[in-house]
Amino acid sequence: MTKYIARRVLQMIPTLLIIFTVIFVLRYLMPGDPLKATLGEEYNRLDPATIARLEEELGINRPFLVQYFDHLGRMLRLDLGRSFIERQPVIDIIGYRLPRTLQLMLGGIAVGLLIGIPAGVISALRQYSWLDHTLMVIALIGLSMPVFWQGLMAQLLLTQSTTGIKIFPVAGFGDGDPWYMVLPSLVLGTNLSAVVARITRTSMLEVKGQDYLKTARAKGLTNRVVLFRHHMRNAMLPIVTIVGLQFGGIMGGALVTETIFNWPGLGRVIVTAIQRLDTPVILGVLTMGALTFMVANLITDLIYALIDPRIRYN
Amino acid sequence: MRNTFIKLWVLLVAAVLSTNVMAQSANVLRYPINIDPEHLNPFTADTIAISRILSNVYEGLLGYDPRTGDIVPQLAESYTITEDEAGRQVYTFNLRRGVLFHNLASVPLEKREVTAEDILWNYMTALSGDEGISVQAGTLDAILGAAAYTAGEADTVEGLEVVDDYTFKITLEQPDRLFAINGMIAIASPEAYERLGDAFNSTPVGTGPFQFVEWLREDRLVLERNPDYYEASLPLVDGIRFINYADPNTALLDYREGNLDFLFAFPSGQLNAIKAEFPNDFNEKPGLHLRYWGFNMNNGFFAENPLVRQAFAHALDTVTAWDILAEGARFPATLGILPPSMPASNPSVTYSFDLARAAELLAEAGFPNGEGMPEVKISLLAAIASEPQVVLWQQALESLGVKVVFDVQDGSTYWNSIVQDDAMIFINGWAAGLVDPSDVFDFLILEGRGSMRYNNPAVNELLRAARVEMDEAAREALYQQAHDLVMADVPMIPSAYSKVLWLQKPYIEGFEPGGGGTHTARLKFVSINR
Repeated sequence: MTKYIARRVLQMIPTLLIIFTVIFVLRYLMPGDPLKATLGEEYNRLDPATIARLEEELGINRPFLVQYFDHLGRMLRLDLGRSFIERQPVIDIIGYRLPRTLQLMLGGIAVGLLIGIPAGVISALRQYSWLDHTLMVIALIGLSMPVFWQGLMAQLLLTQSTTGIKIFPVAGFGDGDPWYMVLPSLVLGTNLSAVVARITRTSMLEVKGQDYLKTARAKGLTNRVVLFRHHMRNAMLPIVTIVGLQFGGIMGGALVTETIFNWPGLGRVIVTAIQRLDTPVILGVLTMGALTFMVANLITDLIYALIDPRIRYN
Repeated sequence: MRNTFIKLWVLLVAAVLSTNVMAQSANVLRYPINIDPEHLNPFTADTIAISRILSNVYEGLLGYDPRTGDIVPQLAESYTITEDEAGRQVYTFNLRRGVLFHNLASVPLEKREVTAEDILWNYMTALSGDEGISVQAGTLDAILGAAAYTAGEADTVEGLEVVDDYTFKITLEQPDRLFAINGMIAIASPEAYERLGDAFNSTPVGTGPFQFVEWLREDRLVLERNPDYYEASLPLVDGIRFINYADPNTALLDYREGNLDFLFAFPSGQLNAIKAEFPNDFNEKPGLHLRYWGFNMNNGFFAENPLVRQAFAHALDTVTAWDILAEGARFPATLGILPPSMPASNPSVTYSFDLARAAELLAEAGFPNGEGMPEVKISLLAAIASEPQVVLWQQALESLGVKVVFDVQDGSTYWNSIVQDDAMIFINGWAAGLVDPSDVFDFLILEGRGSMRYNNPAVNELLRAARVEMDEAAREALYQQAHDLVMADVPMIPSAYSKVLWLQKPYIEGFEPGGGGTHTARLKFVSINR
């Protein structure tokens, strides 16, 4: 297993290099000039010497390859540079926000699993019952609603005494108070819970008729033991796969959720950085996002081995 | 088990409620912001988002009262303007005694009085040119020897002089009647600047009524009362909590629930509904921001066709666009390019909505019914592309036979395209900070500085003369002449003058912003009287 993990980690290096290069080229091809995007009309009022000095300071007047290798070299030394706009190291910008985005994502995944798995299991166990139909219709609605709409509805219904019941705070990080995390996590996890519910149902139904379940029952095991030890465990692999695949989607959803709920994560900073062509932030945040995605996929693969003893990576 | 669960639930609810009670009982302003300041370094580029925060933390030698337009004493308790033997204007500032730099828990420094040496250090730093994207230096150009120092041609600034610990002199190269406003910079602690290094960009240490506590980006920025402020009775609140709301809908929900004391950004299309819901909280006053359509006067079709520019001006129905369709969010610009509260704001030439006259002018220009005219490309900034005036103007122009194409761009490319020569017509705005024509003309008109690149020698001469004219009446007359000439040339079409709009809870007193916007209100005078 250790060897496998080491190999996967090593594989990440060329992947990250390719991703970094693609991001850098796309950023370079983006129309616009960081200095003009930053200064707006103020640019017109600067004399050419000042403009030249500022371009030199930001390093945007150098040839493409020089800029590329400069950024790459710094990235390899884990120095992500300094934001053009915020005037602070990019590593600090990411270090402050990434844990908050991850916290929100984990909250969303927890909600997705806690709602989706029981709903899918109940649907499968009560196939074609009114409960099955109702849960699947709810799942369909959950899948169809965009995150921003869910956010607004959740705020109106669960934070306002005039239009609903005031249970949760409207928005904010609340200094890490878990109460502030509940509503954004619910909103972020709704889509995932719908996907998980449908996959769980399908997967449970596929396993339902297998011989080993009949054997387990014939051995006299209780329904609970059959369900949790044999039925659900065997149905779990597709669910892990789908959560791993949905990780990128959850990251995208987290960016919208952060805006609605004033959550200080990476989403808002990347939007601003792209609008202002803040190259060091764009490169740093997107590369870090890609790394997070790759680590999440590695963890997904490792979980396979935990669930299914037949899978051995060595 | 069940009882334990109920107990835990009760404890949780009690904790949440007690947090709310604490937050509401504190004498702290809860102030929404829609964008974080880019940084908190007073020496570098100044934006509204930055000055909203820093105007509470830093003070200059003199301040500006946005409500009255008066110059008010800050670190200098008095000043005189004299002439030296060479006839140059000399400002002598007498510093207030006993003013201390902030002493933050996060940056413990020895409490120290501000002296003239500190003032010199701040001006030298602002002029040094070492601070990256700096616009401060431009406002200090009037100081004798400043340009040479910034260019690295001199080691000192001839016009800056420490007379003694409490007296500081600034000599100007040429008279500047606005230097007492534009030449004032924030005075920061040199020790904090040295010690903090990069962190100075996010940790301001000044002498103002509030001092910095913490900044959690995209979340909140907290200031607390400066216990050593030289006006012992101020500020009237214990602190300010600037809370970042990226979505104005969310801010509205929190305001409605009593979690905010103000609301400054309204969700689009909800102005009338908000007015109706909060009739007692709603406030409105004329602003100093101008929304305009600029023509590319540097080259191209519009630079060569003044009659077409006039025709386009007559085709813009600002009254319908702003009074009716935009629910009165701004005042229609029926006068000139100066907001109505400024002197010289009533030019002799104006362009009311008149399609018949517009058609006549087009024909006179050689383009009857738009025949022979090139396709007109109008650049729009995405953030304001949905303003009703856009569609209204497009319809009017097309009814005149003009083919119009809108090019909508976001901020990353928009400024690029209008700074370069790509745009034929573009939408833009200018926010004046002072109730003074120079704050519009010097940035938009003088020597082609605005994005129109309109450069009329006769206008430039009038504006330069007005800049140094110390007699108010003569000065206004010069600006009036310049305004008339500009309006006759139509390098830009004024569309709207801003309104400063905001909600404040009835228990808030003393919040009085100037026309520049709600960010200009001096928060040291604001109190909470529940």
